[in-house]
Amino acid sequence: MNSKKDDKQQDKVFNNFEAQFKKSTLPMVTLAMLSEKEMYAYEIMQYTLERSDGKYKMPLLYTTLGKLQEQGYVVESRKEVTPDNRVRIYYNITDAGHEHLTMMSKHFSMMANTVDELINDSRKDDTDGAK
Amino acid sequence: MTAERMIQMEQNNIKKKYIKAVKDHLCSIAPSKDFMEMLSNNIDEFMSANPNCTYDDIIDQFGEPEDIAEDYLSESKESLPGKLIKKNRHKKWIIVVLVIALIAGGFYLWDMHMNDQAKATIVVTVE
Repeated sequence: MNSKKDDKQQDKVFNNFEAQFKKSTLPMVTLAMLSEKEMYAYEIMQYTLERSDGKYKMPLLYTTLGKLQEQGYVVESRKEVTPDNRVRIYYNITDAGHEHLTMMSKHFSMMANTVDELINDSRKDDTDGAK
Repeated sequence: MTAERMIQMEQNNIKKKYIKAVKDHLCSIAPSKDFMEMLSNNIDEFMSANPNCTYDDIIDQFGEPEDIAEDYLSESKESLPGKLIKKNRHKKWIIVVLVIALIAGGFYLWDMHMNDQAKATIVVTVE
């Protein structure tokens, strides 16, 4: 009974961590995907899912795309009407978006490496202490 | 009714249910047209690729409605508490002014009616 409660609690912690992580990285990942080709919103979600082997879902893309547009990193490139009358709005990355992506990915790598080193160092210390 | 039509109706119901659930979590704030259009278009795209999808599939693909709403609220300028309070205060004042106007209008009409009656009484007295 208690173990089930612990599992639920742990799931909640992981889900929250994933949500926060995605919230922080979503603009960068969106720009990275758009730097490959112009895409419409659903295509970005599917392409990212495919590229990440189903690990990176993008449920909160709507506000992110709007924000990126406001910041001038992304523009609507064209509209397309499908045979069944769905309107697809294509988005493209701007030059400012490319610059921003380069800076963000550098910063992200630096932060990720730092966290990785910190975790590995503390694990090493734990193992040494156990010996 | 053809099977295709039935599937389409079922899909429409699922989409409506999901969008309504998102709106219900938006705390009476009307979402932007762009936001709703994009959400609706994405669901259409997903449904077109997965005609037999269920409500749970939509949640799995696009997230819990409350998360979508929460994200929208946190990004939307409208959701700033100060602005919301101001907006609600304005609403309250508009309601108060309307109620006062209604009461005043009612009183004015009642007063006019009474005056008319008084005039009628005078006319009868003269005769």
